[in-house]
Amino acid sequence: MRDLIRRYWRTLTRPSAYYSLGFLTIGGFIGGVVFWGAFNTALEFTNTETFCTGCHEMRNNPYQELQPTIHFTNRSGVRAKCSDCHVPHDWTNKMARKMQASKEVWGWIFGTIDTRDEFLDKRLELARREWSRLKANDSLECRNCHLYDSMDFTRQSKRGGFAHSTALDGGTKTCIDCHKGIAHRLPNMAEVLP
Amino acid sequence: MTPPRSAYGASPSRAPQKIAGRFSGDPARGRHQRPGKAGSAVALEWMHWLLAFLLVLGAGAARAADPVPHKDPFRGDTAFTDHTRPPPLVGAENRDLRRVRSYAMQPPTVPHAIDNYQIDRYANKCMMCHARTRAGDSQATPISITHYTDREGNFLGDVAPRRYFCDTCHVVQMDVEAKVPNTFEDVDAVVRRMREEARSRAATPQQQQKKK
Repeated sequence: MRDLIRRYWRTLTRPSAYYSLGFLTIGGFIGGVVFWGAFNTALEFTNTETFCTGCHEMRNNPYQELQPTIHFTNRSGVRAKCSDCHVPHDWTNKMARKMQASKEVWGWIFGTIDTRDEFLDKRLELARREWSRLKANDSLECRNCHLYDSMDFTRQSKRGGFAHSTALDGGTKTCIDCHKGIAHRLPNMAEVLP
Repeated sequence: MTPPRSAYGASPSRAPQKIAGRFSGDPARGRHQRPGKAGSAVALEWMHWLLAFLLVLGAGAARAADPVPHKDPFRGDTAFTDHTRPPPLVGAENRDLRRVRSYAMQPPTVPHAIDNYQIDRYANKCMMCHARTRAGDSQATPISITHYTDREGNFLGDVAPRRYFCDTCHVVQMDVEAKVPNTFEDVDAVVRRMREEARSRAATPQQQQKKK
């Protein structure tokens, strides 16, 4: 094993005897572009709704619940897809989230959530995870679309305008503190402190 | 026992048919016949037939003589064979202004939109603001003490199960034309009118006496 590593290390550190420098640099560049493009395309594919709802646990549970909500059906036809809320948009955090999501692949392989009942039993745990994530990043995924500076309080309801101009403005509360269960049904809230 | 039901089970002539069948075609009837009274039994049977005939006739006549054709306020002049064109949907009023109750016991109407509010065994969206413990933060009207009593009159620690489903009684309002006319009068208006009537009677006693 050690010999093998040593042999490869020697090959890598020695200058090339057969390929020209031009081939290696230009080939390396093109290869890098192709690799990066393929990687990004594959990554973006995992962000599509087709991919997310490709398995029955997502298609039958959260996706069905999303459809009657304002984030799917509304007057203007602008809508959010799964990754808009559940995957961070900037690269580092996105990579971190994608790595975390490998656990979801494990769950899919072993059928952790196979039935509706299993989903409902696990829902509080799943929801808590998302709530704490949004709480920690100050509801970043909400704010990707809903800009505080662009909110017209006079166009909001009296209650909404009041809450947004006080608690949200002061930073004492973030979106998810009040807007739980807007895109999916709520879990058993008996043990959740407001 | 009864004659075989026709396919027109729900037709108005069903009841008379039933009566006729019961009295004429019932084989058990013979057991109740007393011996030596065959003549009166035959007369009785004829009377039943006559009664059934009259009932059928009466039902038909009542339908024919109906002077005002029934008009469904929701369908208007549309024939029942056609589809109506429903009015456009209207959103719930969302002004956050309390409305006057029409009578003291009326469950207050909801002055805001409650679209997609979840009220099930897992969560109650209304109670996230209207619960006793949430009123401080939300400044919403907390549910009244009547919502804590169970059917035996015991006061519970939280909302009673029979009062859990808020939108059974508390409903949103929409700004639409009332399809069914309503002549309801507030009790205050009734009392005021009666008082005014009494006052006008007292003001003109001679006229009242003349009438008598």
